[in-house]
Amino acid sequence: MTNLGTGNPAIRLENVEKSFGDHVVLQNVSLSVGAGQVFALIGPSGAGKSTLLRCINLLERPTSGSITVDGVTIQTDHTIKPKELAALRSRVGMVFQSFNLFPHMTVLRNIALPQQRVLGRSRADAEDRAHALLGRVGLADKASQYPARCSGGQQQRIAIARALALDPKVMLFDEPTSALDPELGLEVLTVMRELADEGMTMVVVTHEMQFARDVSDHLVVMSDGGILEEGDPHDIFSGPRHARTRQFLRAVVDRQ
Amino acid sequence: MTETVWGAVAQGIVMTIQLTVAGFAIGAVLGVPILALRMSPLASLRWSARAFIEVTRGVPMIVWLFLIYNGPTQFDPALGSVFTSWVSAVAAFGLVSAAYMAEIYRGSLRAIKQGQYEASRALGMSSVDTATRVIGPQMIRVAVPASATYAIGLLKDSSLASTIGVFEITYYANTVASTSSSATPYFVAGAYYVALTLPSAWGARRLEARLRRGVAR
Repeated sequence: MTNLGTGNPAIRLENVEKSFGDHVVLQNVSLSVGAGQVFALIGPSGAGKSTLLRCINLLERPTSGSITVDGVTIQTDHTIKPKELAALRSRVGMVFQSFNLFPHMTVLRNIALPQQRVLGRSRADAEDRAHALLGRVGLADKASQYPARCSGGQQQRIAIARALALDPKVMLFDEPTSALDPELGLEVLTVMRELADEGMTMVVVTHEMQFARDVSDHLVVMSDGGILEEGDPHDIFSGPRHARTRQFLRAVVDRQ
Repeated sequence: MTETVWGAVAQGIVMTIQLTVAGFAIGAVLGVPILALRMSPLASLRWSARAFIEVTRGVPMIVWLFLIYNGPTQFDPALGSVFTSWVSAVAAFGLVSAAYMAEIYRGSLRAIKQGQYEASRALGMSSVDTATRVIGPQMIRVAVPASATYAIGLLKDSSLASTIGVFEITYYANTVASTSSSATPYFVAGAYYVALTLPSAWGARRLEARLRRGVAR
């Protein structure tokens, strides 16, 4: 475990590499996300954005490199102990493109069960917290429904509440609005914007360029398994340094 | 005459139910560890489970009954008191059911989306919690229709136990038929089997609907 003293970043990736056989998905990616920062990861599909995100909570096991979240460092080329993995995952909340709510539980149980099993909260405490978070994402009346009865936008907000219920230090979003029609996506983006305003550290893989530009305070452009450029979103949007970034932005921003 | 036939064959009903329930219960329970072996990361375990399943399913039920009932006594006649008709029949049904149930479980496991495992892992749930709280309940829901179909098939297959002298419906039908040289007892037996399968099928549909409630719209 490394301690970098003050100014400790919330997430630090060092020389993260990932390959499937001969196919290199990520090469030598290093990234440092400060506490309270909102990072947007953009880039063409196949660039490795989702893989990079999934490496942060080790849903994807990097081939080499190290990952630090809130002071917990994992060297990925060593065997990872279940305890280390649990320590890392307890600090990271994740929201998926396809929501992945548990279909056999009510909305309330979806949010309460992980708290009980992972944090050892009592059922009453967990359900109180679940009710509070449902109110916060504007779905207080959905507690006793099953996920299939909720719209996609509602399901995604429930998934956000489920992740927040474990009091994560950072939140990862893997294309959270890609499976939603634009109006429903907006509900989700509103919740994410509120979360960002409250100071949550967030890493968001997204195709929502407006969100990337206006809400994120750091933009990372990826292509072919590496970081093409990163920096202030407004700077990159107005004056991309790389031809590849320009080409990508032209395709997603200026499309008619 | 006919009335006594109904009564005589009815003597086997309880035994038929006991045999089916016991065989199915053993299979439903044993199917779980067999599934675990079948999905093991170790190739040797995976292959032994697979071999068990293929061999068990490949040998007809009636051959299993004869093998288990007659096999052990060949080595030690004293084993005859262990492998009675009832024990042999339950063992054969349990064994074969375990192989079928393991395959039914495997099929339902495959129906569960990868995202469910990922969400559970990302939330930090242990693998035991993931299996018992997230995957298991969903798996059971998917497995119910196929399991019910299998159980109803087993109810009818239980008639094979008459060949090793278990006193169930078909055994009594045979006995009455041979003394009366009439086919009526078989007609009666058939009616009893239908009478047993109908409520089972109805019950299975009810259970399925219950498990589905809330989940689908």
